Amino acid sequence: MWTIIRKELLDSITGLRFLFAMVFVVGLMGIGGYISSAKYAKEMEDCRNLEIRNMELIPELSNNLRRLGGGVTYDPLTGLEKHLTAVRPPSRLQFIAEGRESKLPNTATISREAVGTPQIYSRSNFLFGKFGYVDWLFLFGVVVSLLAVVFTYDAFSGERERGTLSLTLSNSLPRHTILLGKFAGAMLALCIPLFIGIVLNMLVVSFNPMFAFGSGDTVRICLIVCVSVMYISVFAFMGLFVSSRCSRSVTSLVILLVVWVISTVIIPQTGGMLARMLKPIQSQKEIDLLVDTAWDETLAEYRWQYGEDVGSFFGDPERDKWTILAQKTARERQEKIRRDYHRSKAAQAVYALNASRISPSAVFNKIGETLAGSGLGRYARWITLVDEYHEQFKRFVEGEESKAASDGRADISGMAVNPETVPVFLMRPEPVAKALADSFFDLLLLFLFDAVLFTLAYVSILRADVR
Amino acid sequence: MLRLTVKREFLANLMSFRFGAGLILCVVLTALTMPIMIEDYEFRLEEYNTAVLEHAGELNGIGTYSFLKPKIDRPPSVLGIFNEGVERQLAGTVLISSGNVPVAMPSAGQSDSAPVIGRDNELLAALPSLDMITIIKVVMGLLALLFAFDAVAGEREQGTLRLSLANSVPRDTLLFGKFVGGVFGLTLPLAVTFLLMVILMLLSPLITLSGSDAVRLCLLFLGSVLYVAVFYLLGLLISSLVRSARISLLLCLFAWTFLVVVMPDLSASIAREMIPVPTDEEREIETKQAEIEYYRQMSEFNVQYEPKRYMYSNASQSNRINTMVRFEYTYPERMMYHARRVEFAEPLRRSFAERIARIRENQASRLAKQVRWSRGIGMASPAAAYDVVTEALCGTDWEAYERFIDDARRYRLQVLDYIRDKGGLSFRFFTNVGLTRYLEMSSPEDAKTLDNPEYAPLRAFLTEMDTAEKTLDPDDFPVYGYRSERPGAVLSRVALYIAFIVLYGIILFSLSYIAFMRYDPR
Repeated sequence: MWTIIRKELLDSITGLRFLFAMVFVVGLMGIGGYISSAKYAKEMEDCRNLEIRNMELIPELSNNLRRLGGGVTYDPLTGLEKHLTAVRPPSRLQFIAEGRESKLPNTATISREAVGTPQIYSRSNFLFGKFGYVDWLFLFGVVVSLLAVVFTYDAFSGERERGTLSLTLSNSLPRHTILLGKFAGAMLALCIPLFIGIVLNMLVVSFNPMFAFGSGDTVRICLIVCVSVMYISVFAFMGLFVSSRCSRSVTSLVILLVVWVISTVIIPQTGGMLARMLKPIQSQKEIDLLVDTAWDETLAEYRWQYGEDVGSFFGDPERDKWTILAQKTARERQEKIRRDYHRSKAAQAVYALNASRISPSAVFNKIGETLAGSGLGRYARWITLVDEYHEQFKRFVEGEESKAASDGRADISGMAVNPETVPVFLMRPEPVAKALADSFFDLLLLFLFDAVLFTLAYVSILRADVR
Repeated sequence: MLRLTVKREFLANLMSFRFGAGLILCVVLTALTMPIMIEDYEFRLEEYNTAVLEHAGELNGIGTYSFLKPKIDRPPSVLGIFNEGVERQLAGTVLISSGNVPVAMPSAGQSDSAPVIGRDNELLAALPSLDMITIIKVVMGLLALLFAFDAVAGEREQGTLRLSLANSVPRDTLLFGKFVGGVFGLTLPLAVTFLLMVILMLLSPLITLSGSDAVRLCLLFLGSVLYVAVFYLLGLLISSLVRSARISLLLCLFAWTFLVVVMPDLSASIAREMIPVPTDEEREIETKQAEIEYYRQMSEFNVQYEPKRYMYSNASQSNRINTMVRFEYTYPERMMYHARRVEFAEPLRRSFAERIARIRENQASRLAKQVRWSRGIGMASPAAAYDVVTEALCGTDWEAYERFIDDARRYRLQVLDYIRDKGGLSFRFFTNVGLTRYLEMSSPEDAKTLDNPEYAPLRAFLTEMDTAEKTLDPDDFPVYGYRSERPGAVLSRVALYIAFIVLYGIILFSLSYIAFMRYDPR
């Protein structure tokens, strides 16, 4: 076994393809690391500015409980509205999985009544919609998987052409040993440029002063490396399988390339289309209409219950109270519609990611994003956290109001609260175990790809005609 | 002799396994993706048709000129099925009003002066989507290299190159024959793909292809042939440089991965780093400054002219840059003040809208600069140039959108001039009430003041309105019609990119020629 692995490894690394793989992977990992870290630094700076502004805003709002409830004040200099916001910081591990983070909203305004529709605050260019970043997921998912195919396509077919396969098998060598030996040799040869690339990439990233590896990152990175090796072995097994079925190495390469193109380039791009077709959402226009009707219907409802006065103000607190209540309910209902709509958009996008999982590379992307804590999964988590924060904020404002009411203060608008007690939004990092649990199904799927292809290769080599 | 070489190459390719695999892959992928793309297009077309009807309906029955704010729509491009471009990222509806100069930017934030209205799930737009260009760029590019990698090196290994050259065939004829034969062989799956695409399109009841679309489709086909020819030449060059077909194949694969898969993302990433873009906020601050300045000038005007007697009317909100006003009654002095205010405010509003547009344009130009750089860097790969050319031919690129916005601007000026020429910048801007109704609503004292000579214009207007049509005639409004760009204009716009692809081809052919001339066939 060791002899075979050593032979295969030496064969691979002395060949031209190893040299190319080395230059390609290491070079791109270096460039990718530089671009990612520069992008992260810029986004982090923007995010810090937003957070600082939020921290400055809270004392300003705290002077006036009513204003704090509204979550907004005006800057006298610029005339801009200053909102209390919940900010989604850029993902630290985006050099591994960018996950199209810069195209997803990252700020949401907060008031006691509602969470505003999330907005994008970034320097991203909408004209680059089609293009992604050169991160690990892209490089491993596309480039290294192709290399796995290139390293294995002629494992059996090539030897058959040269006639060495029958020579090898004439020795007392079980066929599965040859299969595993070839697999291990190819994987080891692939892992050399891979690991050098990873080290270089991380070195380049860590040179950036804005960057600091956090706790749990090491575990995440190790897990992602393991998953990457698992993913690459899918293509290595596929290569060995096809190679054992074909008598000519060119034929096996053509078949492998077709499969590779379909699974890494074509299928991952079909998710969006499938989601649009199979999980359609309402249009913005329909939602606008629903929002308008919600207002009218709520007022009509109150009018029916509490009389025709509802809807107008008379300057008399007793007469106005139903109008105030009706308007509050109506606003809450409107906000709920808007929020549900945004949720359905997020659900559609997650569906798009899930729909393309018949390809191993889509599965790999999903696991990578989950483990790195970026992409749509992180975005969905952020939305949930913002909702939780909103509840907390609402409870705080209501608590302060009832405190003021029990103190016998009639006018709460001028009341100040202690700014240090105002809750602040914080994006808690997700525990690694949670990320791992979330990607359990996908890991299983990837393992299944490996197992099926290994079995296929094994059965195929057992039955193969070596001549 | 040439014809014989071409025929031989063509037939050899036709009979090969890779030809069958490539053809089947193209056909299957086209047959699978086209129905989804077509359905998506039909959905967007329907949405557009509803929007057009709805927006036309909104103009029916309006009584005052302040409400004449048409919305214009851009039809989805039918060839977007071929190359989606940036069409999905950009909104298809533009609001035409004096307070807005449309700018080619997606609707930013929720500022009420945002002139464009979006249509897609923005979270989904962040995911890549599949169109025909991806299939052709990826699959046909690969197929071209697979056709060419063993053209020279493979024949040397089989020993047939020596035999061929032993005859009286000049090397250039042989090389050229291989090139022509190979490209013919590639044109076949390409033609089948195009044919299938067009047939599937024509099967849809909603899709009609105009003459211009047909010309564009032909140009797309020619462009695609050019694209695969360049990749074939790349394979030919590599094959004539090395001695073993295996090494040639390996090099071709690396070249393909770099040029087709890595380069587009890489060039965009590099451009993003090299050309920094300001955040939306910097633009918002500048915009807000302009709006404040507008409020200030309006307030000054109000302080000077506004009558002291307060009376609530919706018109009191119209200090904002983009508001619609309509009210029926206020006392005569206030009516006169409002008419004067419209005369003062509208030109001011126009000039401030232009100022705000310049701020937005400034940012748009930075984004466009990033794109230009990205394209420039991407020129290292013919795939990027091919993408630019097809995007332009499909009418889904940024420049086509800019053209639409330019048209929208021109239309806006037409509408504004129309309102001015119709005398809309006076009482009719905010009211359509007639004298009889006005007197009914007035208190006796106010009704009496109407006889004062200084209110003569108001009286004249009200008298005229007594008999005039209360609603404005929508048939009289300036009409907007979407103009698509002529194919010739598109070609001249992307001539540089086409020239680049051709140049790429010429250089590759010359290099292969030199390499083949020096090639040792043993």
